[in-house]
Amino acid sequence: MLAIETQSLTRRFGKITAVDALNLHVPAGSLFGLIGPNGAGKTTTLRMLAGLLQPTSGEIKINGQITNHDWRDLLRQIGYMPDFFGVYEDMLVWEYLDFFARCYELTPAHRQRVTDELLELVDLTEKRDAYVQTLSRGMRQRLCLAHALVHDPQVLLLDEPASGLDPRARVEMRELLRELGAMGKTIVVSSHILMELAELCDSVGIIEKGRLVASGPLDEITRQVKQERTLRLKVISDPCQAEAVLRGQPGVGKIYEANGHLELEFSGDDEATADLLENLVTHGVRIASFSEISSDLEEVFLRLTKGEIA
Amino acid sequence: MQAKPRLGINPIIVKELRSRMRGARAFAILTGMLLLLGATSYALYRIVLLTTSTYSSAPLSPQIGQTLFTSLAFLELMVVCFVTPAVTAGAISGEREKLTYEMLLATPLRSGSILWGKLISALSYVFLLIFAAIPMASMVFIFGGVTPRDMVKTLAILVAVTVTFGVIGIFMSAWLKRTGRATVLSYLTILALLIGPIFIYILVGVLQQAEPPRWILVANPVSALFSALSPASATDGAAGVFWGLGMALGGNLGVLTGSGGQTGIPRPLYHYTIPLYGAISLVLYLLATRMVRPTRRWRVNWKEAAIAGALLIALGSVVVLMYMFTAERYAKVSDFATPTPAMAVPPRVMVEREVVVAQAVEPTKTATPTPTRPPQAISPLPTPSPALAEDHQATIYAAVVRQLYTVDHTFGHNPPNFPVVYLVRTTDDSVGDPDAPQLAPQVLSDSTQIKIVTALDSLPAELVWVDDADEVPREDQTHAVAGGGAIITLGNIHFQIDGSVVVSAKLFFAPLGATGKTYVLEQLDGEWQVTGDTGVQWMS
Repeated sequence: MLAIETQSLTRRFGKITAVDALNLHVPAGSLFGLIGPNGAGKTTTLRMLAGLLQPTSGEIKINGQITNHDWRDLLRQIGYMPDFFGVYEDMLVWEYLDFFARCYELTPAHRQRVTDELLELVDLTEKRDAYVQTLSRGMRQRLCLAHALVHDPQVLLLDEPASGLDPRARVEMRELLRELGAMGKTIVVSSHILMELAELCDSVGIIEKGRLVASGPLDEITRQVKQERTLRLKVISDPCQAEAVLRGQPGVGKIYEANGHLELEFSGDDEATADLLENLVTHGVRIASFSEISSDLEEVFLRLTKGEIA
Repeated sequence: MQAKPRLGINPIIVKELRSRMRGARAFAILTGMLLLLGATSYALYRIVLLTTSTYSSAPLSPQIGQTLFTSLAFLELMVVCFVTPAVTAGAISGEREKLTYEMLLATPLRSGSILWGKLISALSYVFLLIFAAIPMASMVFIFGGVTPRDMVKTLAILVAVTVTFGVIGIFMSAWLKRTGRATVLSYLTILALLIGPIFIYILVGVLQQAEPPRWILVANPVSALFSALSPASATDGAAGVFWGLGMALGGNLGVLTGSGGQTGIPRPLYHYTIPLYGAISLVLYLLATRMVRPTRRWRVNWKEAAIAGALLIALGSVVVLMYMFTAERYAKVSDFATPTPAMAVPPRVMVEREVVVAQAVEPTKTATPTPTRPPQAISPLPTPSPALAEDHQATIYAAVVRQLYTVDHTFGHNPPNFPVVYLVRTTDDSVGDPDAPQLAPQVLSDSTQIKIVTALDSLPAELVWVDDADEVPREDQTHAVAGGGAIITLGNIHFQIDGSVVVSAKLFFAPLGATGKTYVLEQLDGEWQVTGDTGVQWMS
């Protein structure tokens, strides 16, 4: 089942097309990373999903419901955390959460319980009676995340939740998201910082210039993108002989030597890789190890968005 | 954990009041304003005592009360004008600027609730300023001259003005998206409402050389306020000082309330101002609810359209009902109010108070035979003086002449019983209280003259109508009226909102033998009778 589904979702600002015929599929319960460089249309997409921006065309389905009607009911299923946000002044931390709980029409007893639980969750219990404006950046970020959770939404839309945080706060935020993911919520996180999403997300969508370049489970995308793989072998026989044999094989690109290993670019599927190994062995090349260097997201990302963004 | 939705207090109101009332600021402002009002009231009280003591008679308590009340009401109005935009113009744009708006919109809170909550919480603060002053304003009841009804009317106008200005501020805030711009435009709009109508009124008066239509002033909150107070507002003493603003604006307070004209609308201005402001508020509010929406702004579904329509119709019917309910009271006014071209002149500049001071040589403690009410302060402005039916005119003038002849002749207990009285058939408003309404002279019709003489049949005097006081025969040496006679000059009849009329009159029998005052007459048992005066009498 899909928690979020968009069909040719498009948004134009004047002549600029911020989001261009986006078809997004986010499975329920997944931690979905929306990755793209600055200005790719991530925030625009999330704002449309949160009902804050009218799509120029296209359709959004949240939990199978089309959002053109009953938007208000759908809002109760969505928690949204904007990338840039402010806090109300002259307001205490618990009042802040209490205010949003009131907006979602929770009963007084419920409000109090939720407020306490959420403060516990985001580790702000001892800041309960502090003024919101006195909180640090990381604390505000966590408080803002807490505000998006007061109504226990099934879908969380988090726009750059880790931006501007120091490494420690970033780790805390990541832990928090993992915890929420474990609760079975569908979480969409946008970021231009790929490393943290690589560890966190189970599926990603890569967006560039308003278009979805790739989407799906992380390993699938990696494979799909990497028709060219990098192989690394440890040759204990004569490296020059091994190189000569390799040159004779189909699909082999550049070969370099690096700290006692041979690394080569190879285009071909798993079958072809197995053939390559077999040929090397039959030619008398002695191989101690043979492996594929797994590509990280950063590499995938750079490959997909190569040079297109100035 | 799905909570059952329940109706609670608007969350915005809770939030706004929590932060607005936190700390000392709100209370400091409130205290400051009360101190300002208190100090002003005290200063005005001193000024009333000071200015009126020139007459060597203590000012009458009701006049102090009326002066203080009018001034307080005016000050409160000014406070409303200055404070309301300040607290409302940032309501929506402030959320946008502080980047809290998106989070608010992502909740299921209705746009109407956001707007309503913002408006109520901002206005409740202004209302606090207004209502906190009521106990102080109630001190005027010690002096008298002001009825609780006056206070209710004043509050109604203040509340209407506050709501409207609040809605203007919030509309600008939702529309312009920037607090700075919204604040500036709100203040400009309010300034335009304060000054614009008066300016147009004067301009029309000057250009057409005629009484401008009074409805021009309906949109002006100051005019509305004074129109509600005008029967009560004092003309003597400090009021004159305080109304300097009005003088500066138009040279005549008549301009402020427009009560000098009688074109078209018979009711006091505020009867039109409150519905107008209600309509403005409703329309701007409905527009603003669309503007605060993030999406589908101008796509109105039938339900919303129906609600908007119902609200407008409800407002309309309340106005119509109120109008019908009070129609009887104002029927009298409209009966009398027939336009008279002779009076179609621009309001004249009021005679300065000091003129009286120079003429007054004796205290004004004259016995009025029928002091059924305290010396009544009249409107400081030329009030509508409808052409009364001739019968009414004749009985009013007859009552005035009788009063002068039998009581106010300045001879005390020895009535002179002038054998002949010359009546000037051209009216002159400058003969009595200089603060009384002043309009152009008119010539009484022949039939009116006859009716007056008939009504005064019982006086032991021969009554002669003359065109001018100069044609009356005088004694050679003393220039006294020949044959021990007297001349009586009458003013125009000025109709008051409460149903009474004021008429100035002068009795002259010799140089240094004259007196003048402005009478208040009321219809008792169908008869016009002198029931009081404006409290000022000159003699020489």
